[in-house]
Amino acid sequence: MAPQPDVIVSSLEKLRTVGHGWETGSVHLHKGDDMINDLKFSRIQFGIFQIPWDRYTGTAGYAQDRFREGSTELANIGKALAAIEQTYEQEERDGVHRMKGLY
Amino acid sequence: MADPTEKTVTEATTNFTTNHDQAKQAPHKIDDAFTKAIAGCLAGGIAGLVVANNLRNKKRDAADEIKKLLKLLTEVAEGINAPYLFVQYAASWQRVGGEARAAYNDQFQSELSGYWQGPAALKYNAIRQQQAKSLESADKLCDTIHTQLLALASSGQDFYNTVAKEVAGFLSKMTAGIAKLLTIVEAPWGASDTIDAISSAITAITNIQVAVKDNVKTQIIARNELENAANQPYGFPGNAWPKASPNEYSDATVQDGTNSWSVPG
Repeated sequence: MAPQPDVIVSSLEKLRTVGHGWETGSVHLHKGDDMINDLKFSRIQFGIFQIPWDRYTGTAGYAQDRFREGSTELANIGKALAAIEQTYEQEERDGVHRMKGLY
Repeated sequence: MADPTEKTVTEATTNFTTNHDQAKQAPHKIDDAFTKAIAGCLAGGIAGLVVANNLRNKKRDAADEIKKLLKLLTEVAEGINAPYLFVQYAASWQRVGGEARAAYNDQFQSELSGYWQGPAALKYNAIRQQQAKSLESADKLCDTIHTQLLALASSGQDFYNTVAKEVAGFLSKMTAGIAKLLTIVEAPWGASDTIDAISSAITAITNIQVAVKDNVKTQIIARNELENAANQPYGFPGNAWPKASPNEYSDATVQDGTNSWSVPG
């Protein structure tokens, strides 16, 4: 059964909104990645706290790597959903779903 | 115990620096006092000669112990701003974690069930759940770093407060010792106060070394916690952010006659 036109519109709108959410999420992680740049300590700055210095440095770098990767992956999801929305909308407009007997 | 703040750690390190600066004057003051006392004794004849010899020995002992104390204070004064920076950076890590939470909230309503169906839509929903878990882990990781930096700051605050107190105790004894040394010609038993000053330096060294050990324990715990936080936390399989794999669900075209994405009829 063919979906009602208003259902298609709301589904496409949902896809747009969700895709945008992933894109803005990506921006937040990118910001976090940038912020970590300013949270590196030199060994001298750690003063008498030399024992955890290398682990702090390593874990801060680990967190930064995850934020960077996460930003990329979230953006990829956002882009994918945007492309899906555009493709579906275009093919619906062109009547491809009906022509292919999918309704 | 309340978390350390920029104000409380600054108070601790300032107290330490003030007392450390005063302690740096100790060798000169002690040397000056002994020199005067010895000169006074030598002017007092045979009896004074015996006291003067005794004072020379005390002078050497005092110089040795004060030198050790100052060396220790110089070592612990290295990077004294560290606790202050830890408090500042801990707050910054909370803000970084806030970015992960914001990202989590941005995708919180990203469930597409009810709007979309088909194999690709199902795959997307599975990936979505993995990504949500990773976002939670990113926040947790920042929280762990924040907590450990505060633990280090707290330990540093306690440490510098302890050292400041120990140095203050030594300075007090030293001042009393110098005052008595300057009257030693009239009252040779005043030398006992200089002995107190020497033993006070030794006590300060011992207590500072105990404080160093306590601080080292906190450092070891922090190192282990930080190491563990970056070792396969939930949501980062293989210590990496999971791939979103859009190619597994991005096929929306129906030109081939199949619909991986469809709107419920």
